[in-house]
Amino acid sequence: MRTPLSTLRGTAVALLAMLAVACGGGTSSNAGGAGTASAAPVTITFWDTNAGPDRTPVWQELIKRFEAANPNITVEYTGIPIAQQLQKLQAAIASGAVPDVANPLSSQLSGMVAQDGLLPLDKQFNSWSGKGDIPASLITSLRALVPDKKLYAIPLSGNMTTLYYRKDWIAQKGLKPPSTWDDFYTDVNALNDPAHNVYGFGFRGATGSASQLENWVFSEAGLTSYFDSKGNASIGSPAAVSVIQKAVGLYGKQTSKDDITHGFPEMVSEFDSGHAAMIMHNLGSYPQHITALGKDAVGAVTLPAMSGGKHVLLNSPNISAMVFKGTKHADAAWKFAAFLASADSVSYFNEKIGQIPSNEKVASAQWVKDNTGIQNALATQKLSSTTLVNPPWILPDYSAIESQMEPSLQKMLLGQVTPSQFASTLADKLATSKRQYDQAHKP
Amino acid sequence: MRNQPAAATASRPQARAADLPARRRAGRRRSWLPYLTLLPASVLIAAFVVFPVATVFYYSVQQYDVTRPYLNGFVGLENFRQVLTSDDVFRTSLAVSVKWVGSEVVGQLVLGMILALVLNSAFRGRGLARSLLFSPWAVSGVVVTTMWKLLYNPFTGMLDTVLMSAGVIHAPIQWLSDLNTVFGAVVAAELWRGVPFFAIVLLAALQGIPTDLYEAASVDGAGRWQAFTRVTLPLLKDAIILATLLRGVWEFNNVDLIYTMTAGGPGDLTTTLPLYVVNQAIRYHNFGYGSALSVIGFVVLLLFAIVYLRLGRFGRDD
Repeated sequence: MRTPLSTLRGTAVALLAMLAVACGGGTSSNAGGAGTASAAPVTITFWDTNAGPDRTPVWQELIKRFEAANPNITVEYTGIPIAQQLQKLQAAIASGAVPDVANPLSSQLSGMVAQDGLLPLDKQFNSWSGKGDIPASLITSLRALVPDKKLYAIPLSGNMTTLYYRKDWIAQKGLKPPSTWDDFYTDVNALNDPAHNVYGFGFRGATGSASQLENWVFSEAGLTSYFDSKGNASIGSPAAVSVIQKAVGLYGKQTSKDDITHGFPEMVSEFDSGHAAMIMHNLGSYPQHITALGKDAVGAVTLPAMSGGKHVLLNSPNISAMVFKGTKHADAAWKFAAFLASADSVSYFNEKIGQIPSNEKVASAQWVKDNTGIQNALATQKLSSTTLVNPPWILPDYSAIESQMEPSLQKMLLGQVTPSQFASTLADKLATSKRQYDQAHKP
Repeated sequence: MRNQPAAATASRPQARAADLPARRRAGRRRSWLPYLTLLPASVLIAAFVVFPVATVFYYSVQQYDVTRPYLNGFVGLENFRQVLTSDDVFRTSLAVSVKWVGSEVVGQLVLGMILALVLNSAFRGRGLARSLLFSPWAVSGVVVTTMWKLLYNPFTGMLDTVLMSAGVIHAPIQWLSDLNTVFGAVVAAELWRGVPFFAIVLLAALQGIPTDLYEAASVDGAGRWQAFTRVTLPLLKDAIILATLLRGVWEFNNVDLIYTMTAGGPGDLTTTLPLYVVNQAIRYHNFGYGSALSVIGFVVLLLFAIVYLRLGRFGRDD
């Protein structure tokens, strides 16, 4: 006689059996491990780490072109806001749910390699027909960011921190464009008009603030390296503290008090809506400013020179194509990454976003010659009096240190922390991180 | 009682004895059945609650940074020692959390009670009023933030425009950047979202109070205030205790609105303990330290809940 319990037992066993079949049989046409070359249809996933209305359509167009040329490969696009991209990538690596390809910044390479999340691309790159078009210096700099010096990323786009200013207001007031730091402070004061809600400078006080301030300090103080021979971080030097003091002194007088909560969108909005005469951001926002204000109203130069005419500029990270170790379609993933790094794709992408193409075939394109921001950046970089400094992206926690300093920077703007304390804290964190890294990677 | 044959009566105890093992077996089977039916829910709770909580406790005694595996390892109570002795941000975040929970729970309780009393009375359009006044509860934290940030914008926000037009202020206020206004501004946004919860719970409890109690009080000469304090409030006691406890725990753990509105700034002025945990674990990759902060937060909430329920004599009639 069947009892309720025996019915339940039977049902439970049946359910468990179904579950075992569902979980255990997981082979599909996509399995086969990394390195499987196949003409069979495959689907790869691509994570865009700076998704938004400006860039998403660009990537989707590139995907369309790739799929037209490779009908057996489908690319699934996933857009991630830039504010969360590092967290999502690290969580994906930790959980194993990685995309096949993504386009993060090269400054994040070290951390993801430390997590053993990326596939080395040396073999693929060396046999790629387009390898000669990628500047050797870029490849060298990418290898330098990881302990084993392998190539884990292919550069797509270069960048530079840029000073955007209202060219029209400068001309109206008969001022000199901010080509030196002295001119910068003169212009900021002269263009400041708080009574009409217009400020001389739009300060970035929230997310990304520490990075912007570092660019400013290195440039104005003329710091030519991040660490001295004893491993002390130069951001803690008296010259750096002096510049921080001057920069912070603008807050609330030549800047809106609201700037303390301004990240990228608010800062750019302040400039584009005519409430700030100058901001600092990278080349990527140039098209946006032109659209908002017109080409004749916007000037774009690298950070100003010191009084002797010498420039010190912090290098900016490259947008790079990376293939993840967990990919089940390494060949298809590499094919897509190589397509993104090809001359046509690099030209299309960088023309749309206004950044420096990382492919030498594109350097002579007309749009590059017409882009004032890019031309100014390249010209300054090529000067013999310019020193380019590499931030310590090799330290896996460098981005985290900058994030940690953001609340402290806000306290500094509020007068709760002195510039000296801020600089000293940042310098300690950097020095400690470098010491721990060097210790762990002693030959 | 009908006389039954001796054989029948004699065999009845034997029959009962023969039935005993079967009855015992049936009893044992029946005693397993409730556990079997609870099994699926228990498995889910174990997988999605017990396991993650145990993982947090495990990592709280580890140095664990996903990007710097060369530093990872067991560190005992070192994370807790750092939190409790040398982390100023922990202390300020705990203080902000207490202030936040106190402001929100008291504010939502008072406003929720007023709303519930109004909606408990009969008036034309009560159904529409209920729908409108309960609707903020359905809005997500991110949408609430977007809405209130637009309101608070010093250049284009409606709040400053209205206040300046009315002559209350003469210059725009930087609601989210000013030290004196940022906390209150964030509290106001969450109050708007949270009041409907109290209103719903208290309205349901109000509707369970028999009206003849109010009639009896009126006959005894009680005024409205006395009726409220001597009839309504005592009968709402359990509902108030439960709602304030739940809401206190939820507000303590609230991250989405504060994170999107101010990211805990400016400085650490609006950084609560859970937001500090998010910063440490997610933004700075310091999962070990973040886990230690989480364990401390868990203990704080647990002690609060135990003491609060005891003091409130929840479930006991006074």
